[in-house]
Amino acid sequence: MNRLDGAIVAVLMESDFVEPEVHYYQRRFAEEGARTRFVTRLWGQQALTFHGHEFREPLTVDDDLEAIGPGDLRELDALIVPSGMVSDRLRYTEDAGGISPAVRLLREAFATPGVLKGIVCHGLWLVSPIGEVVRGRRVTCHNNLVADVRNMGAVYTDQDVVVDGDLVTARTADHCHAFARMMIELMAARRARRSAGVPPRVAPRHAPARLRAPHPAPATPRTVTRDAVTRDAVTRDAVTRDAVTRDAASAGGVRGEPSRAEPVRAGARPEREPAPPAERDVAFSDLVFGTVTGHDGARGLLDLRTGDGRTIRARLTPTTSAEFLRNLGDPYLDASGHLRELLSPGRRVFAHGVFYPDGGDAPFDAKRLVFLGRRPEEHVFEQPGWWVRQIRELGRFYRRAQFGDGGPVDFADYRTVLRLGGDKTDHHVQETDTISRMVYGMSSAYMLTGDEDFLEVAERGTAYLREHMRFVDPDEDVVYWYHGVDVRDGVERKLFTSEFGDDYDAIPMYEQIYALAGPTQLFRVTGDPDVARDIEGTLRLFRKFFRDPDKGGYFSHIDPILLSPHHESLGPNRSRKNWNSIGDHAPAYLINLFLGTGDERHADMLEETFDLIVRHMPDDASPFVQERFHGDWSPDRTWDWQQDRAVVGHNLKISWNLMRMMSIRPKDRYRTLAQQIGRRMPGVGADLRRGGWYDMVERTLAPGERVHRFVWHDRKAWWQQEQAILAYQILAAFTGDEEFRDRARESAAFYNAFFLDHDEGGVYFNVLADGTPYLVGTERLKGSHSMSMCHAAELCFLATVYQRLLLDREPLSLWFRPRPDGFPDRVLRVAPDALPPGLVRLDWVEVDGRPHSAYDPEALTVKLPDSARPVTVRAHLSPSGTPG
Amino acid sequence: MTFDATMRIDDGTAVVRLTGELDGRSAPTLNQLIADAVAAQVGRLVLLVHDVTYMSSAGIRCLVFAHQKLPRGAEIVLVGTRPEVAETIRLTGFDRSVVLQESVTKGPAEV
Repeated sequence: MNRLDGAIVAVLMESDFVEPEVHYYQRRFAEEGARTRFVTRLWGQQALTFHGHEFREPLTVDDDLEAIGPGDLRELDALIVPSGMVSDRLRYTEDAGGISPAVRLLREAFATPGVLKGIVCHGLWLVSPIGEVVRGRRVTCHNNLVADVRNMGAVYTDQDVVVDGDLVTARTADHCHAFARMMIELMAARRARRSAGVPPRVAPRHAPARLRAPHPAPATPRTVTRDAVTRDAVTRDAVTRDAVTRDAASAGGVRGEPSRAEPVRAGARPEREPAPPAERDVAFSDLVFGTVTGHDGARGLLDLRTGDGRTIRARLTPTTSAEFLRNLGDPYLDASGHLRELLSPGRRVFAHGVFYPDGGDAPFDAKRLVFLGRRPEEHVFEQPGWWVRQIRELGRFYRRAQFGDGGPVDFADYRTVLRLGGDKTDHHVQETDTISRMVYGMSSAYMLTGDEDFLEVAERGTAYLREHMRFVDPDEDVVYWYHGVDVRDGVERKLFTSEFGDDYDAIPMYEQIYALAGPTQLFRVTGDPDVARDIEGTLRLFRKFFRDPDKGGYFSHIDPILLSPHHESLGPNRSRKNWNSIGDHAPAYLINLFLGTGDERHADMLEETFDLIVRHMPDDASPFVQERFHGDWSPDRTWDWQQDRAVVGHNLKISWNLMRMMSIRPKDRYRTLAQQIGRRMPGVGADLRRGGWYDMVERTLAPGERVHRFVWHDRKAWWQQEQAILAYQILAAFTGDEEFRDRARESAAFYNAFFLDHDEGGVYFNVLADGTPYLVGTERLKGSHSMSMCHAAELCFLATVYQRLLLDREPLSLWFRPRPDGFPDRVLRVAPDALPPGLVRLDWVEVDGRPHSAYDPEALTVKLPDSARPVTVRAHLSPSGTPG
Repeated sequence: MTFDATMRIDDGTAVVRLTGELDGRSAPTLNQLIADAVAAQVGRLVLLVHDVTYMSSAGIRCLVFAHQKLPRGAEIVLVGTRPEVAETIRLTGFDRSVVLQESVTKGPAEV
């Protein structure tokens, strides 16, 4: 049996074809079992004979392309436009300016995603009358055609073979081998997917993983998603694993364990999926996050009910260890001696272990148990002070890594890249974003702890940013920020434009937004007027150069010379809008800026961005939002790594921030979308069996699929866990819905159980689906682009606010340190986040350790005393009124 | 004064002579010359700017971008910078990365 048995590949034909190429297709596709059909315009003849370009070799064709209707087209696996002059001849029309039959067929093929389009060399000429089908798509072609394909709107890519969804292009006929191989692999994968349910001999999902066009690995990570450059397929899918358990369960009793015996409850027998036979006979390790439904201490059996409603019987072995979940800085807390008391029904536990194919009705040997608290219903991460202790440990880790333990804080020593243990590499770049993110983290750590060492790092970091990374443009009256500086050999080399592949040679909105994250958070603490001026200058940059006055919103990139979003040098980023350029303002700096200034202009901009989100991003065709757009807001589903894919964490981030916005300018459609996303995401983006949230998935299901396919891997990234925890905490607080509260709790349990690096400090970037840290390549680093104390600190700060003030309705103290010239009206705003009016009141205030009476308990503002020095303000907030 | 720019590349050094106002409209002209110098991967980019009466931020952006694109260790030298132009450069933070000279000290004397 061949991979392509029954497949049909149509190859367009005319005179001046390239003989070796055509011969190769004939032989090669046949080897795989596919039939090659040569088709042409027969002009009413029974057959036509064409001659090759070099050897004048004859080829007779009797298959009329005009006879191929839309229904017939769907029978084809692929349509190939070969090289040579075939395409030019097939462009001929009797009426000048009309569309030839071959072009019409090609257009129909482009409208039929099931047909793989393969175009080689000069074949792309056939696309020129219908350039819209390749607009914005990545292609390669003969060097002579590069300008032509750019004029068609395609993105020329200097590779021998380029895959863009259902379009495969090759440089010249000399690359017909690589081209044919790619076509074969893709056709095989597509056929396998179409016939899902009948397990193919070759595991279908592994093939495309091998084939993915290699992306250049950026020197340092961006977001997790962008970092997903180590694209080894490590997945074993959940269906397969379930099948193993089921298979073993149905063999219950064979090994002498009576399946009816306690503690298995009636009806607890798991329902499982059928599995490919080849996968049934292996042992594999896995994680189960479940609620204890039964425990038989004498026989060492444990029944766990998982979040997706299955029951798994685990065996406790003599080498099973147990521990309590612990915070950064806490010692290991052994629980192995207390299993009898701990394994009481209703208790939730993480069990890591091994599934055996011959394990009878208890197929799972639990090897490591992690309990969420000593008492049932206790979740240690909901204790007062949990997140405060965590941010303190994070702050110490980054302080030590960058500047040493107690030494002076000198940002000349700062480096973006930190190894797992916090030590530096020979990479000498200081990225603006990463300094800004650390400033955010340190400012937040100061607000929660009052530790002035953190504040010093934040202030020096901000001063360094202003001195080294800032570009004041007096002509345009705007401020923008360099990507970073390279400080190798003591010479400062400005890096003006982004050095990342996604944004290369452009000024991305994303980086400018995150350049404000740290200074804005520091401004909330100190009110520094110089920092405020830079923020205002950057906001003018956004309004003047990134904003689209016609269609609304903000473009994602501008060119570095003319600052235009429409400059041709931007390539695939030209005239584009994306999730980040619209949606990242609010969480990165804009809500914080509004909190710190109370300026309604910022609320206006927040409203503008949230209105755009609810208007353009939801999409009936997918449970996930649309993240990328052309200038006119039509979806862009061809862009680089995004294609038609979703970042799970972006969806959660939208939900979280829409709920925050409900406290600033509430609208029903904000709440509706936030809750809709909150209800949908667990079914499509969460791992209900092991806990945690996935990274990036296909937005839609292919026929026969029930699980949204993982784009790169099934790893879980720290920042996406953060988005989930905050989204579900705030959803729970404002709706009172216990389901949301459970999600928040489960998300926080997984994060605290598996992301904290107890050995080296800090948090891990990615863990495998089963919670094991993934420490390979850039995902091993601690100080990379997005890691450097931004999201992890934001989580500590806001989880404290939401857990204490909103969920537990307990008080909270925050620290501020206004400068003598800080805050123009000498009013300090101490609201820790956007909160509904009346829900929290300011109970008491201390200034430099003494009670201070000039404050407004409802408005959460403090009238600052005049002072020649900075003052330390402690604001004590407590709940009042009822949420929801 | 109308803007004019000429360039000569010689022995790893590109010398650009600029006259007039380097504003947003004329910056693309300079950028094109600089792109050619970058393509030649020169180790030194000398700009003769005695006759530049005004340099906009767009002009400076061309230089900063050039600095990023030139080989590591490449030097950008501005010769004859007027005080108001020097101030513009200082505001961009680019004064740390560029050499400002009164007159040509080495390299080709004239273009």
